[in-house]
Amino acid sequence: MSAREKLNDDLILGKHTFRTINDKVNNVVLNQNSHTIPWAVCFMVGFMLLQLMGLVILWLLYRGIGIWGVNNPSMWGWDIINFVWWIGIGHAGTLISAILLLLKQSWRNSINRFAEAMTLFAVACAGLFPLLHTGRPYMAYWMFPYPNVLAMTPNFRSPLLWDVFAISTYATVSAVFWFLGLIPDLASLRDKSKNPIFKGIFGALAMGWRGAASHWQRYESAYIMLAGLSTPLVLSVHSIVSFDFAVANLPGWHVTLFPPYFVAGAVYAGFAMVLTLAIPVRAWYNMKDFITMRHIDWMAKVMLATGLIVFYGYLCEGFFSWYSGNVFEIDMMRFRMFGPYGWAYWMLILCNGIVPQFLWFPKIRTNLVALFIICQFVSLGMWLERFVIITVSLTRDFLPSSWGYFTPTIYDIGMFVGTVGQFTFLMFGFLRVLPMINNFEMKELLYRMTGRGHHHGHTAHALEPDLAGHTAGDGEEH
Amino acid sequence: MSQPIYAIVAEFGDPDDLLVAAEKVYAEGYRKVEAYSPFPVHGVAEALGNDCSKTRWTCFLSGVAGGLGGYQLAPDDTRSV
Amino acid sequence: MRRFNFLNYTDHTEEPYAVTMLARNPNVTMRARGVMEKCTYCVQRISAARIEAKKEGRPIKDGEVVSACQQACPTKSITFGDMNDPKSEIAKVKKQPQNYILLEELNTKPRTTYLTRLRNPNPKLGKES
Repeated sequence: MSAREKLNDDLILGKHTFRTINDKVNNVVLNQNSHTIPWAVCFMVGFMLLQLMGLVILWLLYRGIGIWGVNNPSMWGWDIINFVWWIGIGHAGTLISAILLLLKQSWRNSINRFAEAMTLFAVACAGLFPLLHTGRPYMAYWMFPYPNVLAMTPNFRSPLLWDVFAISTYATVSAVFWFLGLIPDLASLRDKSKNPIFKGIFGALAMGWRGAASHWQRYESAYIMLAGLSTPLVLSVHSIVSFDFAVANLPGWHVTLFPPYFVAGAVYAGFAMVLTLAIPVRAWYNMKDFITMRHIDWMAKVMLATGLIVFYGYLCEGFFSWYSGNVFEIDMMRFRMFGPYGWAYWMLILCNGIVPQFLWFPKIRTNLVALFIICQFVSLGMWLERFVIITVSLTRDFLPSSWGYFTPTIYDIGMFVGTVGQFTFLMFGFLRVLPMINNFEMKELLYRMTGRGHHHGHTAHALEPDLAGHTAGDGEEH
Repeated sequence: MSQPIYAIVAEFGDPDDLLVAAEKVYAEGYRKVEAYSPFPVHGVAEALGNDCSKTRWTCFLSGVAGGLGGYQLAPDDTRSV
Repeated sequence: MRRFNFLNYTDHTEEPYAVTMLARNPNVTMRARGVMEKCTYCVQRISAARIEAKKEGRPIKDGEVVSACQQACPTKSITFGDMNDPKSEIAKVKKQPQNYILLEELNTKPRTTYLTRLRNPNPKLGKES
């Protein structure tokens, strides 16, 4: 069976048995004393910023979105920049959980749970912005084509409507995928939990999972199907987000390059965020045996590859605006580089073009401090990319009479910082109540790594119940 | 009179032993057998004679139903309001 | 041209806006926040004319609908009508050589088009006024 191929040992370090993996992963949830001061600090800061966002949203609902810096030429401001930024960050989770699963990449096992949670929370942050941006969030259901007496249906030719479907599908599939993967681990927590209340909660969520062979078979079949559904979503969601720009007729937006370049940028930003979280968390919870330097090295390589695609996109934009011979396109590039937002463009080139080149060096890829700093540059760079695209094009369109300038207000900053807080709050809340590493997949990975070359039906073993107990015995086999 | 045997439970320390046992039990003619494991051991379900065609059909039919439901929401010019 | 109401620019409940706004422009008041302000080409006047025509069982006559801007324009520089009717005033005006479409090359097909100013580039024929 292909399941028993010899894998690289670096994916799990240290002397681990099924029992130690199980205990280590479950311990973070079951032993609430395992959470130290860094957890409390991150959670509290996240919670405070979340409250700040609550205040901003309250004021926004009372006054209208005019409290943001958006104005008449620049109708999209930080809200849409943040929306695209967050949605992009979510993509790494889906890539890790779906595409790497279909490609049978075993290094996804220790990071997929974590990354999928990150996807969900990033989508939760992203979804807030277009919702509030509509101006009347209480009418948001008008965006769906439901039968109504107003004889009103959304315009199916608008990419903004495609976006509604892309994002809602993405959020739904990601949530279902995440929950399905959690079921066996919830059952493990149910079996190990001493507290009757938590036992009940985990038991209800595990939905009667017993780990029977027939369960596993159905589980794997469903999981692969969901991975098949999610895989096109990795590509389609950010393509559709890019259509929000590319379908419009504005110089700097009306570019066929946008879909692939946005998707690459999304994966790039997503891996930066996975690393930003994984590097400290693996140290705080001593998960270095599971999220090894090899994982970090490979994630850094994915970042380098996608970063190069993004940088190539910037070069293409420059080349095509010149090659088009179109006065508006040429001037748009000139405004980006040397216009009032020139500082943002050159910062963007520094963050997304120059800084990631350091990832060519293995020493930097495995230097956690350097890598963490590079990830911050990447996150900033990806934010600036959306800033340059949105702001420069909107404030410099065809007619000089409608040119303008965009200045963010404290409410823009409050919303952005608030979603960062929401993300941190949800992420650290998740670390405390659910297993951050996919428990059963790690055990399966160990089984495959320790493969002793048994082949289906080839080795005859004495059929006798082994009651003596093995070091590899998990205690969950009954 | 001894108690009738309702079921026999065997515990294995190694997933490979479970796999071999599953095959043997099936070959002996036992059909009401289930194997429990904390992670998927590929081949055990097949060795016990299970297949997951039900999952596939359920998913396919649910997908078709969902798709048709989605089309119901599409705008219909002939419908008078 | 369109404008988004980022804030509630008119408080419809408070004097003097409630009465004066309604009095000056009874059919279109400033909309509430969160809504796009866009020229509707006086849809309420078109509706009124259509209803009248329907009652009398005839098509809408050319010039029967007068948009508010057209009515208010002292130099009569705005023409409004049915572009699909080749005999209408608007169709004739649009056929004039000085008719142009703003940013025509973008192919957005705006219904509002403009007549360029008549100039005399030849000084021998007289001074441009």
